[in-house]
Amino acid sequence: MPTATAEAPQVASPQPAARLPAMRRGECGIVVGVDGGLSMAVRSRLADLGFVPGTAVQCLRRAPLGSPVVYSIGESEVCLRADLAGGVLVSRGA
Amino acid sequence: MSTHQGAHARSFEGAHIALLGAPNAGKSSVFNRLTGLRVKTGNYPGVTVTRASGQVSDGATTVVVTDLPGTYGLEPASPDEQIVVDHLLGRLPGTAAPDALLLVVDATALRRSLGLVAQALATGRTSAVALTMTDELAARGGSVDVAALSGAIGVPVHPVVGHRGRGIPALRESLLSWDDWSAPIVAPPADRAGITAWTTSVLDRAAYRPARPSTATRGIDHVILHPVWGLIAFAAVMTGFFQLIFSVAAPAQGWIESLFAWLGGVSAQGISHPVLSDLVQTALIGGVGGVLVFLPQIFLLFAMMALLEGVGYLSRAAVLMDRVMAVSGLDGRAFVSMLSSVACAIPGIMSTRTMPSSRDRLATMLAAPLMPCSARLPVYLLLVGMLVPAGASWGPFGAQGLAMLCLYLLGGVSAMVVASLLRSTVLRTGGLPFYLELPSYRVPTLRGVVEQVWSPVKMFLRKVGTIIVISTIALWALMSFPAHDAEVAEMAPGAADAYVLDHSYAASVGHAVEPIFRPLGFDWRIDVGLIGALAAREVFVSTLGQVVAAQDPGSPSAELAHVTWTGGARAGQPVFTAPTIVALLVFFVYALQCMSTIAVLRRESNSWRWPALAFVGFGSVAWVMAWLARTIAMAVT
Repeated sequence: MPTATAEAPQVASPQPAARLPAMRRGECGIVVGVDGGLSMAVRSRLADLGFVPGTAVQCLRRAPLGSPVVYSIGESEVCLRADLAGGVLVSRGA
Repeated sequence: MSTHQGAHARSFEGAHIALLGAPNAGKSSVFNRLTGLRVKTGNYPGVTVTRASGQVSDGATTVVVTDLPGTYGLEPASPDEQIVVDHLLGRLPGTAAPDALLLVVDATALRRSLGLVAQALATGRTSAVALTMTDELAARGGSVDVAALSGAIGVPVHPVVGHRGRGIPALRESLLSWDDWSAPIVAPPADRAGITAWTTSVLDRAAYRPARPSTATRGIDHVILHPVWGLIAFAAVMTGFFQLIFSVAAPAQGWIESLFAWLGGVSAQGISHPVLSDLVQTALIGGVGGVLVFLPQIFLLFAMMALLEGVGYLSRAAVLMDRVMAVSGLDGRAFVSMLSSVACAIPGIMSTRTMPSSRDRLATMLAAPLMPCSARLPVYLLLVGMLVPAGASWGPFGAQGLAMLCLYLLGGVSAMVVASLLRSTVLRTGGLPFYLELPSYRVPTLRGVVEQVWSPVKMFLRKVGTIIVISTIALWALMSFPAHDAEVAEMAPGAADAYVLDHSYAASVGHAVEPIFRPLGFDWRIDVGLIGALAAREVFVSTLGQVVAAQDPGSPSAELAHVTWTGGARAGQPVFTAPTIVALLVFFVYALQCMSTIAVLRRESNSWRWPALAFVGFGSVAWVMAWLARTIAMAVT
């Protein structure tokens, strides 16, 4: 599974954009954007963590009690609770 | 002391260079390698945000390097991050902007890290990059052309392997001639889309090939974060953690106590004047012993935390415990601090330093003293022993053990409630929702562990130790004066000690506060015991023993059972009735009696406001809860 950014963004997405928490364990996708309704600080931090359009994302595993969820994003692995993950829009099944 | 804090970075001479980078980028090991162990750690003035400074020198030139808190970006998302950004931009009153920036960049996360580089270069400050983890990049099949990267960014780039020390001499040399560094001729764009495009072009020019995901890390995480195996592994790690603290630290503490008791005894023999001899034995040598006795715990706790963090386990433990801690409004990172406080709140409070948000950190520090620490155990054992007959049972369980369990649960649950209340009121979130990067598993170096243990040990000895020694001397004076040499000349030692204490300033305070504590059933002698407990909770037992001139002051329960009220409406009635003992137990669950905890709260929160608030707040809660418990106990007995 390549971790580098798929540099051809907006490939014809198989499904309309979903939110990150909707991804099943092991599922891959491409980040298509961040919810514009979030505050500037939250959008910036998500981008700083690697959630920028075109980046490959995979839902790796859930913590035993269901939260938080570990995602592979670009070159690194980050865990998020549903509140932050819900702000990330993905195109699933990449 | 707060002026020291504000001035600490100034006290070094030389140009100021700030180290900026993401958490896990290897910033601390680069910093420690550059500066060695001569580091000053302190908070920004008036807040709980920590920074460390150290000097780099070749004899002729000296620069001061400041390690800023790790950050992923410069758009401030919390008051803590605002302070760091203000420092960088020179907007912090009394703190000059750094002369140059050294950007610490993780080569295995180069694409993401360039976002921070772009934001930092946009400040126009003279900069250089330290590129870390290049060994790991190569090991996982990635590569980058460092010279081309430097050309593309427009500032010098120095590859280093911080924890192995590779590349550090060249970096140090470059640091000392920092005025040869430059700001890029063309600054990177400031907007998001621009930064992404800039990053892509820089990576293309540097022929960047990203590392493959670490198969070892994925494999270990498959077990470590597994719903069943992960929790079993977690329980095993935590059990080992505590076994070490109790089976290694506790005997070491015993040796330190014996050593200082012996030292005190020897020096007391050499001094003929009784008060002077007692001053040296109890207050001075006892006070220093009272500081050093915490060292085994602090040392072990930080050594194990450094080890677990160095390996990468600490962030996995935070993932596992996050859901549980979320109930209290905290996140998984607070778990180890709370658990450590079951041994002792001092290392528990100090361990909050690893938490990135100052509000979470304060909430954890303020809740930690409620965790049932080991100093409460002797008090609980004495009082539960007086309250519950030894043979009593409830079903298959011993009643004494159940009573102890209830006390521990009451403390633990109350700590969570307090953290939750603080997080939803005065420490309401001012930051971002929880996120945590899971670094690859790594083999920690001995040097890295030593460096992480050294700083808290030094801080504790120098800054907290002073407060503990001073308060020990003050308490000793309260309990030993005024002198009654003539009256006690003919008495047996136990009776003489009791006489002096019964007529001391502490007794006067005990009598003075008796009206406050009478509704709880505490007479002035219990109040004197509570004053003694300010030195350390377990001192309550021996102080009470001394008050009643017990045969064995370490286990005074027989004598205590016969203590009666000396005046007032209850004169002649026994003091230690069941409701009073219950009230006393509940009081000990809540009250913040430990001066050492107050001292460490003062140091870590960088103000007297929080320890004062905690002392008064927990004292009031303790009184109310003890009164309620006594009232309920009186109704059922």
